[in-house]
Amino acid sequence: MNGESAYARAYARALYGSAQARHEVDGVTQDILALERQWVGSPELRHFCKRGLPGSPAGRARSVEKLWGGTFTRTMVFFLSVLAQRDHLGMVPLITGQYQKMDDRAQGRSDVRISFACEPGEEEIGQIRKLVADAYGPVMKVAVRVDPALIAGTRFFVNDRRVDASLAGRLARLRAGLTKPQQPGKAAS
Amino acid sequence: MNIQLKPDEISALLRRQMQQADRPVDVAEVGTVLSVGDGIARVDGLSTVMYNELVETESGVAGLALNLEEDSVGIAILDDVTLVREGDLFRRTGRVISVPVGKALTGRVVDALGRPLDGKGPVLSDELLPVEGFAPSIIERKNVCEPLQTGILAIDALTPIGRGQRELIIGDRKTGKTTLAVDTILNQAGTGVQCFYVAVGQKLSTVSALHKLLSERGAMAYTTIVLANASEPAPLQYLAPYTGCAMAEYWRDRGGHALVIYDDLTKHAQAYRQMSLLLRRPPGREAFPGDIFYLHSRLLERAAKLSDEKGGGSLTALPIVETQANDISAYIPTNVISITDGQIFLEAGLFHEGQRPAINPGVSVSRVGGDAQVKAMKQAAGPLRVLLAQYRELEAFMRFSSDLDAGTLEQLAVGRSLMYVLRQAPNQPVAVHKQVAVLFAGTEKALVKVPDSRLREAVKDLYDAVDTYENGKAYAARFASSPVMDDELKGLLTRVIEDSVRKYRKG
Ligand SMILES: Nc1ncnc2c1ncn2[C@@H]1O[C@H](COP(=O)(O)OP(=O)(O)OP(=O)(O)O)[C@@H](O)[C@H]1O
Ligand SMILES: [Mg+2]
Repeated sequence: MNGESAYARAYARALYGSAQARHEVDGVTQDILALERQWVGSPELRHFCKRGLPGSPAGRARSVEKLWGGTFTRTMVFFLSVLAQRDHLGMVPLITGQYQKMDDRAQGRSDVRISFACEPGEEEIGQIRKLVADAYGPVMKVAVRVDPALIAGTRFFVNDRRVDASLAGRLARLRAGLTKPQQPGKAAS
Repeated sequence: MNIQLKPDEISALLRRQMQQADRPVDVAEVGTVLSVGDGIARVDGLSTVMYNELVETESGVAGLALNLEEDSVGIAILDDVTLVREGDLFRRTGRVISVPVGKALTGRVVDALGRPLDGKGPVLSDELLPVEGFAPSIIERKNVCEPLQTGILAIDALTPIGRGQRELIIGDRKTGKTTLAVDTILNQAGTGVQCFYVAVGQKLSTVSALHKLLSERGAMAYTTIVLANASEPAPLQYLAPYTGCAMAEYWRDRGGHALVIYDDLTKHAQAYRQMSLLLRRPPGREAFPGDIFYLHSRLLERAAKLSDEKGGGSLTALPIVETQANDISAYIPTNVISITDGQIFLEAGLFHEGQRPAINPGVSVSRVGGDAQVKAMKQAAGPLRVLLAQYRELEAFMRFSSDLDAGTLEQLAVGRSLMYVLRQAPNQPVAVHKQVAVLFAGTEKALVKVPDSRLREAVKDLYDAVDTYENGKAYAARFASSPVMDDELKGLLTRVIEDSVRKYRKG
């Protein structure tokens, strides 16, 4: 793992831990989502965070207070000012990603990523939702995209599990199966 | 190949293969490679993977799950590292690493995953065994009771090895360690002992020379070579000894007898150290990770003589360890010495003096093999240790004093002739009845009057005499029926020795 993402994980874990300790997980999770939206929506915010806020560590902490003091929970504001003091605000997108993974895991929320070969209908997505719900429970977060490289069919991930029902995958398995040296016992059956 | 296939047979074959390979839906547990370097991949996901489980990429690159951390898994890549890139997926196989075992392996050269390296086609084996097998428990074992003849007089006399024993061969580089092991393999012809030579971190040229020798001498008929040479990734070098051991266990657990040679465990430990540092495990003494002892103990504990209820099979292990400047107190040597049932210590000094095999009898021991020694050999070798110890002492003393009495001079001559008797050319193992004959001649002082310059000839003549002289044949026949050193055998032996040695005495 590269250094950045290891750091980000450590930060996210610290934030999640203190949110739990103060019974503020819901609030902090809201803040994380809001922060993610701000990050995507505001080029200025991205620019400042990546460059590092100007001023001394204490000055940077005050800037954080000004920016988010009124809107975010105290835990979140404190966390961000620690990041600012250490000039680590550039890691925000990594940290929010990691935090959400942790939250998903803690809430038993399945992370479902579905790819279809061509634009899916509601019904197809619904089918997969039902499959996942039967196996993992109803709480889930679903992301859908179209990937023509699949040729036909679908491939989806539920957390660590991958279900591949695409033509591209089937062809790849066929190829791998045929090029593997045949074991005598199995070939005879 | 000269097989004619008809078109409809081909299409039937293809159809069958396609049916097996065609799976419309595939479900797998996967993880994404976050980073890869130095043969180690860090993977996000695979949250339920087991320690030591085999994982695979889409393109079939194998990996070994080793570091199971809270939010990532460290995977040692067992193939070409350049085939794995960031973002690739590793999938679980649900199997701990297993290798093909059984008769199909005999005569083959394979890598640490049991894949053929000798160009003789696939290894056609139905059976797999996990490389990390369990060591037999105490009640499943019994004491070592049958000899494993090495064919090397110095070993069979002084540090006898029994089937199921673990005897360490230790010494500096180029002191004849590998030669001892290979000669032992050569000497297993016709004994039914299956041999496995595991080469770890060696040069390919060394191993191919060894393969050639074993082939020429017909020893590949009962031998398998497991090869992870110096240019292989460290994880394969780490795995190779366990692979060889699993292959040998197949025979042990079916009432058969197997011999495994690990050449050598120093390089094995170094490969493990490299892997551990890359996996960021905390280094300890000599930068080895803390579990280095377990690395070798769990391997060598699998050597055993099984109880009769378990079929009475055996697995004998001859690990090899290389020392620096005869230092057996370094970390790896002390560890392995403490795990094994004895050691054969080869000394560079002796080797250069021409005393080859360069076994130092003073510090070489076998803690269990004596019980398994052939009776007559045990009797003939009885006085050997003491005589050699006296000789070494006198020899040291001789450096300070010049006028020695006749008794002392004779003791020296006996010692010298015994040291000669223990010399042996490489790749020429000797049958036990011949060993006993020559040893008896040495300890009974029959060779004392032979001048040093003719000792070599005299010993060689005596070896031949046992095969060719009438008395020799009588002795050999009697030995075959009952190998006990009683008066009859002694009488026969004394006559052979007289007939042969007489020619070389001075005066
Ligand atoms: N008994 C012997 N008599 C004469 N020469 C020998 C004897 N044993 C070994 N040699 C020679 O000594 C050389 C080194 O032997 P060998 O390769 O067995 O040593 P080694 O300790 O395994 O070396 P390495 O450190 O390279 O593994 C070889 O050329 C071998 O032929
Ligand atoms: Mg060697």
